[in-house]
Amino acid sequence: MYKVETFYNNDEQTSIPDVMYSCRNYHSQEDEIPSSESDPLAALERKQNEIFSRLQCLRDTVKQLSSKYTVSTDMTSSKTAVTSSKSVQGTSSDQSSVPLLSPQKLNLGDVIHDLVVSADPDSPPLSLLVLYKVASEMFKVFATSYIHSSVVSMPQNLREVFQNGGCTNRDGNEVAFTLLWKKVQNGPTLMINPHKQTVIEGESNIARYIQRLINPDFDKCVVGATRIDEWLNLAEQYIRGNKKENAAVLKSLNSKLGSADWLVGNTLSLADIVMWSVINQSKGQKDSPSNVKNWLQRCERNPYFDLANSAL
Amino acid sequence: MENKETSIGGENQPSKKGLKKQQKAAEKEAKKEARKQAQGEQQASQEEDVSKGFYGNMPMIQSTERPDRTILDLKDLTPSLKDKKVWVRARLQTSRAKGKQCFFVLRQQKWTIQALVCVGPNVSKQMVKFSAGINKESIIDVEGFVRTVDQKIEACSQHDVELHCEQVWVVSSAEPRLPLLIEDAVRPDTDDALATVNQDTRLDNRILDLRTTTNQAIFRIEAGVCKYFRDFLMEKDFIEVHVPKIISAASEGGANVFTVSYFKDKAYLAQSPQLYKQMAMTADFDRVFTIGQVFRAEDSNTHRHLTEFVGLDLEMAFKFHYHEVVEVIGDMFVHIFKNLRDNLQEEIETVGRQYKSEPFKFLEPSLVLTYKEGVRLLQDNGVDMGDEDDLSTPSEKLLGRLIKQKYDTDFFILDKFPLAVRPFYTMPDPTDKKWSNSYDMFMRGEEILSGAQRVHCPELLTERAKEKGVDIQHIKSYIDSFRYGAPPHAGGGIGMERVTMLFLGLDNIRKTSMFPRDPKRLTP
Repeated sequence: MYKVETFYNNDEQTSIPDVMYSCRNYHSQEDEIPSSESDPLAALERKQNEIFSRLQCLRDTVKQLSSKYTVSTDMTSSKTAVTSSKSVQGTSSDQSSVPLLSPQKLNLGDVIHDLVVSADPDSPPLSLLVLYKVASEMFKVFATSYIHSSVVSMPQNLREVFQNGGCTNRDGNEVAFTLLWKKVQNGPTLMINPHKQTVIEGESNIARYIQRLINPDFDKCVVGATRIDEWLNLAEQYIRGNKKENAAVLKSLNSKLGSADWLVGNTLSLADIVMWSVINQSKGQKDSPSNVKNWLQRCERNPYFDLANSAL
Repeated sequence: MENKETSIGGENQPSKKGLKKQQKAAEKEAKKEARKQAQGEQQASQEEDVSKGFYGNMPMIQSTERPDRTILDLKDLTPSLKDKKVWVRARLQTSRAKGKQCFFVLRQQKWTIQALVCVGPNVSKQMVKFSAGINKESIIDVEGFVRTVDQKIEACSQHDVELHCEQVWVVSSAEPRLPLLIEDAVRPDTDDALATVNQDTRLDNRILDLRTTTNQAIFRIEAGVCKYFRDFLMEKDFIEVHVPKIISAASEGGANVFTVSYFKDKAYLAQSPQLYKQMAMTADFDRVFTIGQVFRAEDSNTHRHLTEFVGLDLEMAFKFHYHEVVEVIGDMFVHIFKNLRDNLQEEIETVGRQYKSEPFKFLEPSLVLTYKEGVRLLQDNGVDMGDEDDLSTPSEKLLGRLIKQKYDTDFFILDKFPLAVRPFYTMPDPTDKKWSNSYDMFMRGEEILSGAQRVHCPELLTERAKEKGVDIQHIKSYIDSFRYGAPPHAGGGIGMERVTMLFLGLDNIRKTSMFPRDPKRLTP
């Protein structure tokens, strides 16, 4: 009745794949070198050059990307570091001491890096004043202070410890220490980037931040860093402790200082700075044992402590 | 209709209905008697008015005589005057009668006291009735004894005393129906259950609205802003000058000026005293400030624009760097804020009761940041803008919030704006032509002052005007004023209403302008 054309062709060969996935061959996809090249060494050399050129391309793209996203590529510049002559404090072979400053400087970008510390004028953060002096050896630091409207009266020596405000040129500086005298509870607070953080509270924590700013390799020396952390925690406790607890702290300080000049390692470190600040804030230096008294004076003789001494 | 009952039987005895009618008539008679008796009593008591001559409507005070009478202020009525007889003149705020007593509240600016008229040996019922019937907001004279109370009267400012009245006279009566009630006008907006008054009604009946304690406080704070502005600058050897407001040529851009007909010509109302401040500089006045009206014909109906407002402007000649002027202006603001915080704390709290806001925080000395830092702060927070773009209003608000979070201050100064967004008379930066020696000051994220170092060289001024496309002919007299030796100078101007509004954290500038003018309002 009807004749219908066949709509499939039985005779067609269908190829059954014998491979699950097939990938391109990674190695040598270029045209084979014309075999007129007789010298196998030259061929090897050319291959090597090609690889080098490809490596160079790769390195260039990585550099481009790193500069675009401002990532410090330590690989390229690790050994040839920029040294400032006085910066390395006590190159000791003793692994447990950590220098305050590092030979390498952190890249902070092109706009001034502003650290805003709010502190109560009744208990000024003396460690900040010492660290300011240390930091000014590495960076161009612009330090200024402001009095917040919650504070009605302030002692004169604190008012002048940093240049009080004024609109002189901030532009040439890399770091700014902005000290706000304000009524705060729970110790001084630090704020740098409001949308990336909440406030950081506590003098020890502020000291930790600034230490890592001026010595990015602080944590590399694990033993020393941990010992310093121990003293920093003790400092925080001391601020909140009652007379008995603080007396115990002074005792342990005394015993430690009997055998060494400084708290950690054989040179001035963050632990000494913060403990000194905390003891001076609570006016505990009068009735401290003899080793502690000597150590306090040793700190004060250090040139870094000049500014902090004027605030006492 | 036939009266069936009475026709039936023809008996003498009245029927049921008749009985009822008789009863009703009897009741009516009884009632009449009672009323007559009551009236009789009343008449009797009217005749016995003990307080006649101690209350009533005072004849209009046309300065006929000066009686030897001391009238005290309400704020002086304290327990120290216990049991003394005093005279006061105040407004009747509210009254409440309860049988033999009438309590009313007297108000004078922001002080209120409770007063009491009750029937006694010297006070009659008629007097109580009269006191209860006085219209609200009338001005009345009251003589009475100051008595202490055991329970504090929380609703009044003089909460430990009460006035027991012996004489009540109406000095000036108010109309019985008021367009708005003062108690409604003082109520904070959050109270949903009770009535509040919306802004248009307030502005239409401004004299009633201004009587509220909140408004009295707001305008005292505004007066404080002016006073401390003046005090600080006069201490710094500034001279107050007054400059003309009718000018011949539009000072800054022709679009937003009001024209007035000036005899046969046209003249304009000054948009800002800029031109004349600078002329005062070239006239060797060195440091000037002026307080006067500023007229801007901008058709913007926003919460922060008025067509007429009071401008506090200053201009100062400096020796080497325009930062000398910025520091003076910064110190001036700190001085104003400190004095408002210390001297007008009570007024600030009064305003805070009706319009809640965060207290104003500031730093001493004022915080100065560069424009670059501000832009970087915004860019880090996701605002898409170039390094030299102008700040839009939402960006300004966001910047205000970020700086509040970082530095905990509501007031800051941004320095070194890009040259492209400033007017032609702004001095460019010496090292980089992209920037200018100009600054803006912000309160709570809103701009209150725009200032700069002015170009004082006629050649540079002509060049800048050409670059900005301003017609030289229009500003010829302005350029000429610098041809006879002009000192380097800088300055700025602030709006008094805006500063008060932002200091108190209010939401609309019309609240701080006594009789505001905007594109839609010309009266009162």
